Amino acid sequence: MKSHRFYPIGMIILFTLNSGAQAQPALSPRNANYTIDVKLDPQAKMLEGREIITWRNDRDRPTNELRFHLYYNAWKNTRSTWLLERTLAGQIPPRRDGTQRNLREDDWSCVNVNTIKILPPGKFSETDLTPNKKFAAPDDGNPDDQTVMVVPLPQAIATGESIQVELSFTSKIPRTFARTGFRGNYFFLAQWFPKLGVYSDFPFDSLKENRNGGQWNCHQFHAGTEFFSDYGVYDVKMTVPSNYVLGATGRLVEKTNNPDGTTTHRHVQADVHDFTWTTSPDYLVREKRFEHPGLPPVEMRLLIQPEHLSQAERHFAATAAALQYYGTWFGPYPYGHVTVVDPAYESGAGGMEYPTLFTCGTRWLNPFGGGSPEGVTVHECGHQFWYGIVGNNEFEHAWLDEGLNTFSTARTMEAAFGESSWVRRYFRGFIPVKFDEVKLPRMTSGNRLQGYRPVATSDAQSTLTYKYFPASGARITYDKTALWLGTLERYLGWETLQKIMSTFFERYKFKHPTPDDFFAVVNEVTGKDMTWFFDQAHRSSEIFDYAIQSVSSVPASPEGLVEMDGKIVYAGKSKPATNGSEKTFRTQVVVRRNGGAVFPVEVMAVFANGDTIRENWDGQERWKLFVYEKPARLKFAAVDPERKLILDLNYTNNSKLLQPAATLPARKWASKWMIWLQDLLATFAFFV
Amino acid sequence: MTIISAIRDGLRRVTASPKLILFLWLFNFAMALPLALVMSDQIESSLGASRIQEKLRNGFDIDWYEEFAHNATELGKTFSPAVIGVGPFLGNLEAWLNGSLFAGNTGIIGLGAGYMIVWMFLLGGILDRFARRNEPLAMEQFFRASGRYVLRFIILFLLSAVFYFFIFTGVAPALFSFIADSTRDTTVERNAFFLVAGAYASIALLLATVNMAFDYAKIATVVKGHHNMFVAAFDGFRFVFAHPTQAFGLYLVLGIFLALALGLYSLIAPGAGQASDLAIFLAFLVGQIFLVTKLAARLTFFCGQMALYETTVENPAPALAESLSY
Repeated sequence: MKSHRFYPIGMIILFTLNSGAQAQPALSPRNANYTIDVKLDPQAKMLEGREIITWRNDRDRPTNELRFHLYYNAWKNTRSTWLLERTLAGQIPPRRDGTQRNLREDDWSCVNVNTIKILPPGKFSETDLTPNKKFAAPDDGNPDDQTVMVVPLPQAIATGESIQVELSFTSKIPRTFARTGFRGNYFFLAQWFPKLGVYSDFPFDSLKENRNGGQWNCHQFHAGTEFFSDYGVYDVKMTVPSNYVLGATGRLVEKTNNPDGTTTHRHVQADVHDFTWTTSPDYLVREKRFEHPGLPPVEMRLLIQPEHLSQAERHFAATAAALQYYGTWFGPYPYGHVTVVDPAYESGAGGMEYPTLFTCGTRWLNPFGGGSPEGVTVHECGHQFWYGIVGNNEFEHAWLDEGLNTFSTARTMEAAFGESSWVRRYFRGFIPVKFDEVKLPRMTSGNRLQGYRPVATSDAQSTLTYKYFPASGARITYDKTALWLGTLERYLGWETLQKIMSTFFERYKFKHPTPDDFFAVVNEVTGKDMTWFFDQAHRSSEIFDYAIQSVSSVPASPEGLVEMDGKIVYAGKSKPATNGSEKTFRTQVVVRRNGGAVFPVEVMAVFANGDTIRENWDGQERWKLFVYEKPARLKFAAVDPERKLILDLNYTNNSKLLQPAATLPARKWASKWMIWLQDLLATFAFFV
Repeated sequence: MTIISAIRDGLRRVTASPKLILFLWLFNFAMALPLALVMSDQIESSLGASRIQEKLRNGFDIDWYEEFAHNATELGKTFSPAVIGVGPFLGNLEAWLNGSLFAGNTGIIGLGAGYMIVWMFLLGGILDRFARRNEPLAMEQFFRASGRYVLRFIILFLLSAVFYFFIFTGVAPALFSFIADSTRDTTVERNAFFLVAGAYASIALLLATVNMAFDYAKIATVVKGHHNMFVAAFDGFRFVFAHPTQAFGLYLVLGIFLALALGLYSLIAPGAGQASDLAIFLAFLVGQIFLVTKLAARLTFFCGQMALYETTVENPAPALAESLSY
């Protein structure tokens, strides 16, 4: 006999849900709703599940098929598109130390849909669709890829009609791939169930080829992409051994101990587009409440590895920072609860976002001030806003959430924790050493200029995400976006950019915005047509690079034959052509545009007497000469002296001193390097 | 002979040869200087007339560094902010344990190879000098001894290289592969850490054993006058395993001393803030003092080993006679 144990909060929630989660004012369209019952077999690493999907066609045209993502088939064998792309990127599979591991039997995974049938009510009678299911590869035609399943329907589903289908499935859980899987008795289960694609009544971008499968936006699982689904209500029962701690999307509303030593946890969450859960007997649970004036409170539940318990407050502080700053800048977090997961060692789940739950991996030794685990925690919690609430298509335009979130992360980190310091980890990464004197500025390091630089010309950002070159797509997605947002922050001002982002957030929360939606908001808020900027930063792979090519500052008086007092006389160095008046210097500054991309820049000239001249240059031509006659020599000239153009790949060339003195700093740093080299030579001598 | 008395004896011999320490430090300095000048040129060239140089004069600038690293030559890529403080020494210790000394920049590996060859040459003179503890350092005699033993030491090096090669390409990968397998389901980093630390300790122990054995082989060559280096190598291993407490104890004392010295250096190591020639020089000087300390410790250790070894040799005179016969 099952024993039922209700929790006080669960009771309240359950009451609320019993009165109907779907009856609550819906924040989202809720057109894809899932009721799932799944059981984990921790020994066999298997999931046995049954799900009922209620889907409403809220688009303008009917559909005569359903398309499902079967993500676990991405790791079925080496012929899947995901693994072929990872191979192309040289990352099969990635490990922290950069080496490749040999794949073994328990690394692989798959999901088998055993049955699929239509359930009444509605216009359909109960119909077994199992024989009709087939795989499709709309993106690359790979016949071996089984990550998209197509199920033709006996009748079309018209606009506004709903259908209820029941699927039973068995999933073999992988040893962690792409953050989902197991390690020992730790399980992190993401993308684990057959999930519907998104049916759309318009193409999500201007490319007709993207209208795969008619109007179903249901891409294969690619190495460089994440996910895209409709919003709905998830009501999920998960059965695990009773000694296992469980965390999941949504709130726990019911917990039932079963006679076989298992416990069934029921979580419910409305207005989300995915459901993820994790379980392990090792998790410790800590809870804290986030409160901030003007923002709704949030119950923070931390599932932490015992060895990281001393870092619990750091996780809470970073989560609270994200909820506070994102909430203040963009819009409040609406769910009232969030689960923070510290994944197991080397489980590959280091940092990833899911609705109302995210992972934020840390290390056993992690010095404070080195940016971790705070950075990853802020970033993944930030995804609750950019991805969770604003649900863009990550297959096609992942930059819309990853880029906006990378920028927001850096800003939050700076506001909450100040500048981080550079950390190098020694001895296979176990021993960190923080170099306090090497600071990581938000605008460049935080927005990841170093990541973007080597891949700057790899792809135009407007390329669909799944078509990026696999090895460099992430850098274009995350880093380039953060850098152009940083550029906009300095060009338009934070107040304007914040208004852009909050308007975008408010307008597209619980919707599926496209890049053009974002650009339209930019134009609307700024009152300017910023197409010229996005044509370069987003729609091209040209680089920005302005430089001071040369400076000179010489006495202004001419040499040679000059007219003086009505006579032509010779003027030379020892006999200047002045009449005893104040000596002036002619300063010439040549500014050059090395990159193909154009941006209006400021040019600054600073003179030895302290005079400063600032001029604006539209940056259009390849070069421009600036000439000044001043009573003092030039001290230095700089283009973009305030570094507004964060996208500028080479900032060292943005300034020039008239009298350089690079010898001293060069010797200083070479002398430190020499100490390293001397010690290295002595280390070589050990072997003699 | 106890470990303490061996160290005392070693200290006496080393402190009696300050010129030798100075000479060896100068050799190390001179070998590194040309590449340091190249590095200085590369940094200066990267900075050009940019105002970034002002930032680098007063501290460090990560943005410049990343730009520099992106455009750097193979040599330039060996520069990183980890040259500050104890970073260089930790990095080299890691490279020593990983065997990655021989897998880096080809120019530096070439320099390291050259350094090893010259060191092989000098070792004969060094050991000869320490074997004749009460005599003043005569350069001619030093180099004659160096020349006399260099071929034998090259043979010993080649023999030892077989062991080192086996450690780095056989034992170490097998150990770490074993750890990877055995921690496949480990969810606790600390457990993996202790296993990895154990692996490093095992590798260090193996390296130390081979190193000691071949140290004693060289000492035996000088003290006993071995001409057959297989016999000398055997002699070295025999000594280590016949006197494990003293041999390993002495090595342990050296290790502890170096760890303490590194700890002390970490407290006083200059950071990034030197903005004048004098400050740069003083920071450089502190680094050089630490390097000399390490060198002196290594030589003391050599002498301690020699003192230990001599207690087992009834009549070391033939070897000395051999060296004095010039």
